[in-house]
Amino acid sequence: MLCPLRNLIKSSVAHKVLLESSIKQPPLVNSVRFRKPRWLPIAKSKEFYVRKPTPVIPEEAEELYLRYSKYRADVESIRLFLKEQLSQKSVNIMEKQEKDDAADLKLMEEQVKEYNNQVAALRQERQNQEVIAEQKRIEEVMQKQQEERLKRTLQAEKKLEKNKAASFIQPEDLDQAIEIMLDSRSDYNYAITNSGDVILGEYPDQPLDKAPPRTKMSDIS
Amino acid sequence: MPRIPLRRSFDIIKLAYHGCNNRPFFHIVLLKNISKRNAPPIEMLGTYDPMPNMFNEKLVSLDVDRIKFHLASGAALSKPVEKLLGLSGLLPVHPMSYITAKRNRQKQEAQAESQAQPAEDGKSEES
Repeated sequence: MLCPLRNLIKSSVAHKVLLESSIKQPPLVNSVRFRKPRWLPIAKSKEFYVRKPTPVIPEEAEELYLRYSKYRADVESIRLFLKEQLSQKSVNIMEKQEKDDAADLKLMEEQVKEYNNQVAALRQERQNQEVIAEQKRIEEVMQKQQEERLKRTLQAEKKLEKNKAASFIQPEDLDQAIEIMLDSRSDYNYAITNSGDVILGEYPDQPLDKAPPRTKMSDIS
Repeated sequence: MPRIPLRRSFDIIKLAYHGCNNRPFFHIVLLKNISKRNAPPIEMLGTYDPMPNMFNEKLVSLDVDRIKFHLASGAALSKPVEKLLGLSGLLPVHPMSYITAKRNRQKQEAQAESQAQPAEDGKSEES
């Protein structure tokens, strides 16, 4: 606290004088009184009272000094010992807690494992049954489909058999059929009005030889 | 800036006066060093009745576990508490206790001598 101030007035003469005087005679200090107001003078009876210093017996002082140094060391060592004990205790508690936790965890894991195994066995059984059932179902479906297909083919064959004579062209009628095919022409070259009248094209349904010659791509170009 | 510089604050185990007129009774409490004597304590660690009872006993009760804990965690001790703990055997006996005992012993011896001397004088007179 004093250092900066001391540095400030280090070189001043006044400081030097002050310092010397303070060394010779320490400054008089009036201690602050708390019971009486500050401005009241010292009581008459206590005006010249000087407290007698507590008598110090040198033997006792020496003994005290020795004992105190030992006492302090002992107390400090006891403190350290208690501190170590405390930390040891907390460590022990933590270790025990960890051990307990580990045991608990192991037990829980075992229980979970057991339960999982039990459930897995049940599930496996169920799944096997399901697979068998599925296979059976597929087989049934296949069977049914096959039967259906067979039935349909038979029906189709029967139908074919029935219609064969009516619609099929026999080899001896082939020429005639071709003739008929060629002759049967339909003219799509017409328009239909909004009212539904059909307006035929320019050359409606004429034989090929009477129809005007077709324009070819080569003629245009 | 405060006129009185701030003091370092630490925990201390000390006596708190809880008696009344002519009947001292102390609580042994854990307090901050800067708190008032009878402030609500951080923890109460025991009691001390300095007046001897009908069996000439001064009774002290201590919460030893907690005191040990606070010692371990670095709480300071006031001098009377150090003396009490020394007498209770938790800490070594306080140096000042030895000195007091020595003084008491010397006083007793002096008393015994002063009592013995008149008796001796009486004897010599008789003979």
